[in-house]
Amino acid sequence: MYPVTMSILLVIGLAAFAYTAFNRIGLLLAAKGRDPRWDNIPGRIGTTIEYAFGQLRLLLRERKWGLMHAFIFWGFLVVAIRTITLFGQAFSPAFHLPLMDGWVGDIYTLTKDIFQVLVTVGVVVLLFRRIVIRPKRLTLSFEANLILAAIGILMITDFLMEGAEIAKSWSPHAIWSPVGMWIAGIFTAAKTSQEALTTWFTVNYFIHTAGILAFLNYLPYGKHFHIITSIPNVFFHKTVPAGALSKMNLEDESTATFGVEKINQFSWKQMLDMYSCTECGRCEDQCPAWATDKPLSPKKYLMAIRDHMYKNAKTILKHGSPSPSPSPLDGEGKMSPSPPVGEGGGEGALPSIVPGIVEPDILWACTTCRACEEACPVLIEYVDKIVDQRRNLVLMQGAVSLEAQTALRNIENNSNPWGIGFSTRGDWAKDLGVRTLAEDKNVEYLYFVGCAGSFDERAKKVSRAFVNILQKTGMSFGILGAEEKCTGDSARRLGNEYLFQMLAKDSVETFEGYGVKKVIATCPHCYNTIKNEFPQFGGNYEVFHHAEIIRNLVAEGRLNPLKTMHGRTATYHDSCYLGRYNKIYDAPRDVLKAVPGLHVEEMTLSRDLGRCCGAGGGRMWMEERIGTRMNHKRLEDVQKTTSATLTATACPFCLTMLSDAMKEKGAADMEAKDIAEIVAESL
Amino acid sequence: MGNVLIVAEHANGKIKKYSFELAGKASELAKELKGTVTALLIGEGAEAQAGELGHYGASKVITASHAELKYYTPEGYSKVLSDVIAQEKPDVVLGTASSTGKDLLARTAMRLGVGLASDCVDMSVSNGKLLVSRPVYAGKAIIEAIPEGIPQMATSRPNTYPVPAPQSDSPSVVVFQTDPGRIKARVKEVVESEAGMMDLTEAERIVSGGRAMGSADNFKLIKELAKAIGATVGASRAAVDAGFASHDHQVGQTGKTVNPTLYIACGISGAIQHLAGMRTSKVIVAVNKDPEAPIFSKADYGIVGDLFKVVPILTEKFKKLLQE
Amino acid sequence: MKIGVLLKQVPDTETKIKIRADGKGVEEGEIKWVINPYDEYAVEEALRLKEKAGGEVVIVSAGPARATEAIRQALAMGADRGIRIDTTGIEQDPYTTAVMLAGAAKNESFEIIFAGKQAVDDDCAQVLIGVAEKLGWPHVTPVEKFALSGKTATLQRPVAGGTKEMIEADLPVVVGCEKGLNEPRYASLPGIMKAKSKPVAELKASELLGTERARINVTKYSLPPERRAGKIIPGEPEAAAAELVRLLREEAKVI
Repeated sequence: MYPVTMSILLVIGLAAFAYTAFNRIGLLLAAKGRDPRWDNIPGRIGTTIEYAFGQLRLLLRERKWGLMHAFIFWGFLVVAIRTITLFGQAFSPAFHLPLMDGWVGDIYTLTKDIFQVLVTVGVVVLLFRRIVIRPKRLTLSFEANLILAAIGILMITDFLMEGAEIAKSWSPHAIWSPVGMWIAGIFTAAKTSQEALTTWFTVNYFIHTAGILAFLNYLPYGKHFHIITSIPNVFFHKTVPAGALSKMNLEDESTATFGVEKINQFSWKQMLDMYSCTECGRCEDQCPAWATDKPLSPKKYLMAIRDHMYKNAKTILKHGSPSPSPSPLDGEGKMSPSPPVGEGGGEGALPSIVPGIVEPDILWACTTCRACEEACPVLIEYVDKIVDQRRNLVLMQGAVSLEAQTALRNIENNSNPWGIGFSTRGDWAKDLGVRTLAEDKNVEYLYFVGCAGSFDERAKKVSRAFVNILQKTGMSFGILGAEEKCTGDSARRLGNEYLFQMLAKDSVETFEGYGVKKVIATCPHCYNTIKNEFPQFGGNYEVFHHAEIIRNLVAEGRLNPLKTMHGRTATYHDSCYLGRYNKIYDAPRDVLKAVPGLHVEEMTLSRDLGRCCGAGGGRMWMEERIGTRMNHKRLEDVQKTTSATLTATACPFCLTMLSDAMKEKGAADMEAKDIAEIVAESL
Repeated sequence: MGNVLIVAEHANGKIKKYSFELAGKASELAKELKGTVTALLIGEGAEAQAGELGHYGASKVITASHAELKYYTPEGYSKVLSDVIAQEKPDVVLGTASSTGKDLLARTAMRLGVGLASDCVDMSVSNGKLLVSRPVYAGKAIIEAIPEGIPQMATSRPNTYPVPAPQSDSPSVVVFQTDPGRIKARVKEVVESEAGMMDLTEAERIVSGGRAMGSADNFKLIKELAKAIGATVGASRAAVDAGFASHDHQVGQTGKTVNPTLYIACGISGAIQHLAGMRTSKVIVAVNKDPEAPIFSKADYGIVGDLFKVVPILTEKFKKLLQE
Repeated sequence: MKIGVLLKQVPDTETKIKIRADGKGVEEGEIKWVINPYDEYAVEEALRLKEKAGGEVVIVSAGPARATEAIRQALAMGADRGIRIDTTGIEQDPYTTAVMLAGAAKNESFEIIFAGKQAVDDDCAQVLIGVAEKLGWPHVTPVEKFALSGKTATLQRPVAGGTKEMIEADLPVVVGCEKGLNEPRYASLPGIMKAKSKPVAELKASELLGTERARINVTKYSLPPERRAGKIIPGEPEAAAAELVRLLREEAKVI
C-alpha cells in the first residue's frame, strides 16, 4: 500500500496528460474545415472492429510483421485490466475488478501471461527489424526503439512482480501464471529472502506503474500518439464513396479562402489523420510517384504537415474561432500576400504551407491513385488533403502548370482537354448508326463516351468496338453526341472545383432533360464522377462500366466470344478509378476469361495493389519531368512479373500510357488493348 | 481610267519575289481598269534594281529614300506612302500581306480614311471596282468584299499568283523627295537569326521528327530539311523523351501549340497528344512508313515510306527549287 | 500609369462556322465566344506593367452585349474596369472599330495601350494600327518582348525569317501583342467573383462614330471548298518526293 506516493504519481501523471490532451483536442476544435462524421454509426463500429481491433490491414499485407504488431496491440488491451488492478492495489492490497477474484480471474491471468509473452516476442522481433533489418519504408527513429524497449520493460517488470509475489506467498491461483511460476522458481532456487522479494516487488511495481504514466505522457509527443488516436481515426473514416471529393461551397461570398493554404484550414479529421500516422511507410511503399523518384511520399508529406501543425499549435489555438482575416478579395487576380507573422496577425500569423513546408511539385506529383490509402493501417486519407491544397493553388493563386492550364482552358471552351471543337464530339459515331438522345430518348442506357472515346483516334477504336458489342446484342442505348461534355474529373482533381461544378451541373441538367436513368461509361474516370460525384448535384443514376456490361452479356449468354486467341497470354492492368475507387476487380477479369484460348496471368501488383499508369488526378495533361516515367514502371511490372504480350486495359488513359510505354521502350512484341476490343475481336 | 499603285519591298539590295508577283497581278487589274501600274520602292539599297519592276508590269517606279527610312517604321513609311498617294492619286493601292506590307497599308489607310482589305487570296475587278476575297474565321469562311474609298486598298497574300515571265520593258524611274520627320518608334537594331532558330509558336514552316528518327544523330535529317525551307525544327513528345531534341522543340498538348502555314511531320504517328498542338496548321505533310498511322487522317499530303530515304531526297528537291 | 487594353470577343477557333441563309454573315447561335487569344497576352502584359509601375488597367471593347462577358474575364484576370462600346446595329469593320476605340481611348488619356496583334476571327490586324493613327501615336506590332524604362519602351518585333527588330518607342504607344510575349495568368476564383462587381461603363457607338461609316463592304460570305481528304502520294521515294514538292508549290502554294 502506497496511497500517498501513488496519489502523487497519479495526480502528476494524469494532470500532465490532461493538459496535453486538452491542447490536442483544442487543435482539432480549432480546425476550420467543416467535416461532420457522425453518419452511419453501426458501419463505423464495424469498420473499427475490423481495422482497429482486427488489425486487418496489418494482417493482410506483410503478415509476419503485422502479426507482431497485432500481438502488442492485443496484449495492450488484455494487460489494461491488470494495469488498473495494479494501480488500485496501491490503495488497497486486495483490490480487484469485479469477478476477477474467481475463475474468471484465473482465466484472465493465464490469458494475460500468454499475451505478455507474445508482446515480449513482438517487441524483440520488431526491435530486431528496426535495428538489424532496417526496412526502407520505416522511419527509423530512436523514439521507436525507446518505446519498444519501454513496452518490453513493462512486460518484464510485471513478470518479476508476479514471480516475487508467488515466491513470497504461494496461492493456488498461482498456477494460472506460468511465467510468474517460472520466475518464482528462480527466486526460490536463489534462496531470495522475504525482504528481498518485497523489494523486488516494490521496485518493479514502481518501475511498472510510473513507467505506464510516463509512457502515457510521452505518447502524444511522437508517432506513438497513434496508440491513442488510431481507434477514433478508424471510427471517423470516410464513409462516402472514396471517389467523391468534397463539394466546395462556391456560392458563399463570405468565404475568405478556398481550399487549404494554411494548416488550420484543414478539417479536424484531417488533423486527426496527422495525429494518427504511425510512420510505417506502407503508403510510401505503394506510391507510384515515390517509386519513380518524385518528391512525393505520402508519409513524408503527412509528417511534414503534422510537424508544421505542432510547431504552430499555439497560433492555431489562439485563432481557434474564425477571426477576421484579410480577405483575399482585397487582392487582385492574385491573392494578397499574408501579413507578417506577429501578435494579433490573425490567421496571417500562420505561414502558408506551400511553398516551404510542402513544395508544389509534391502536390502535383500525386495521381490520386489511392494506393496509399488502401495501404494505410489506420485509414488515413491523403488524396483529399492533396486536392484541398491544389484547390488553394488553383482557385486562389492560379498557380498550376502551363500544360494543366491549357487542358483546363480547353475544357472550359470546348468541353474536352484537347480543345477540339465541341460540335464534332459525336462525329466518331456518324457512320455507325448510333442515335443520339436528341434523336431518340426512349432508350434504356445512355452510353457516355467521354472525351478520349470521342476524340482520340486510339480510344475511338474502343468506342467503336463497344458499340459493335452493344449493337450485336441488341442493347437499347443512345449517346449525347455534341451535347456531351467532359465530366470534369481532371478539372476537379487538378483543383479547379469551379470548372468542375459548372461541368457537373451542365451534365446533370442534360441527363435530367432526357430522363436518363442508366449510364454506361467506357472511361473509369467518367464512371466514377457520374456515379459518385454527380449525386452532389442532384444527379442519381445507375452507372455501369463497360466491363460490367460485357461481363453480364457474356454471363447471360447474349454475347459469345468464339474466335480463339489460343497461344496468346494477356494480363489485366487495373485502372485505379475502376479498382481501388470502385472495387470493380472481377468484371474485367471475367471478360478476359470468357475469351476462348486466351491465357491470363496476374501481375504481382494487381487488384488493390495495382500500380497506377500515371495518368490519374489530371496528370494525363501534365508533363512528367521529375524522376522516371510511371508508365515505364508499370510496363516493367508487366514484363517482369508475367509473360504476357497483351496488356488488357479498361480505361482510355491507361491504354494510352501503356501503349506509349511500349513504344518508348521498344517493346515491339507487346500491345495494349481495351477489353472491349479483345472481346469484339473474338466474336 | 483606274491607276494602280503597288508598294514593292526589298531586302539586301534585292527586290522581293512577291513584289514581282504583285506587279504582275496589278498589271492584270490595271488592264481591266484601263490604267497603269506605278510601283513605290521605299528605303535604301534597291534603287538600282527599281527597273526590274518594269519587267513585271510597272510602267513607272517611284523610289523614296532618306536616312530615317533605312529601316521600316510605320510612321516614316506611311508618311511617304500617303504623300505619294496624294501626288499620284491612284484608284487602287496594293501591297503584299508581309510583315511590312500589312503594317504599312493599315496605317496609311487609316490616315487616308479609306478601306483596306488585308491578306487577300483573290483580287478582281467588278463594275470598275476592286473586289477581293479573303478568308475569315481561320479559313472556315471566305468573304467577298469591296474596300470603299479612294484609293481602294488591299494587301495580297504572298505566293497567291504565279510570277509572270519577265518582259524587257523598262519603266520610268522617278525619285520622290521626302522627309519622314521625327520618328517616335525607332528601330535600334536588327538581329538576324538563323531561320531554324525561330520560335516554334511564330514559325511559318515547321519540320518535326518523331521517335522513328531513331537517334539524335539521325535527327540531323530533320534539321537539314528544315534549313532547306527556312523552317523551325519541331519534335513529338516521344522524340523529346528519347533525347533527340530539347523540350522547347516539343509540339503537342503538353508542348507548344503551333499554327504554321506548312507542317511536315516525319516519323510521327499522330497521337492526339501531338495532334492537339499542330492540327490547325494550314498544310500538313506526313511521312511515315505505317499507312495506318493516324497522322495520315489529318494530313493534306502523305508519303508512305521510309523516311530515311524520303527526307534527304525532299531536302535536295526543295533546295533545288528554292535556288531557282 | 493609366494602361488601356483593346479587347475583342471572338468565336473560339474550334467553333463550327455556319453561314447565314442570306449569305451576309455567320450564324451566332452555337458559337462559343472567347477573348481573342492574342488579347489575353495584351491583358497580361498590361497587368504586369501595372504590377511594376502601379496605376490602372482599363479594358476597352467594341461589341454587342455579349462582349461584356469577355471584358469580365479580363477583369477576373485583374484589370480594374471596363468600357464597352455598344455596337448593336452598327456596321463594324476595322475602320469604324478603330475610330470608336480611339474615341474612347482619347477620353481616358491612356499612357500606353496594349492590344492583341490581330483578332482571330477576321485576322485583319488593322484595328490597333488604326487606333494609333487616330490618336497620333506610334504603334509597334507584333511585339514579342516588351520593357519600359521611364517614358521609353523597348520592344522586340519579329519580322520575316527569324529576323528581329529592336525598337525604341516614346510613350504613348500602341503595342500589338504576339504569342510568346508572356504566359497569360489563370484567373483565380476570387478574381472571378470580384470581377462581377467591377465597373463596366457603356458607351454609345453612334456618339463616337458620328457620321463615319464602315469602309469594307462585305458582299458575300461563303464556305471554303470542303477540305479534300488527304492525298497519299504513291511511287518510289524519288518520284513521290518530287511530286510532293510540286504539289506544295503549285497546289498548296506554301513553298
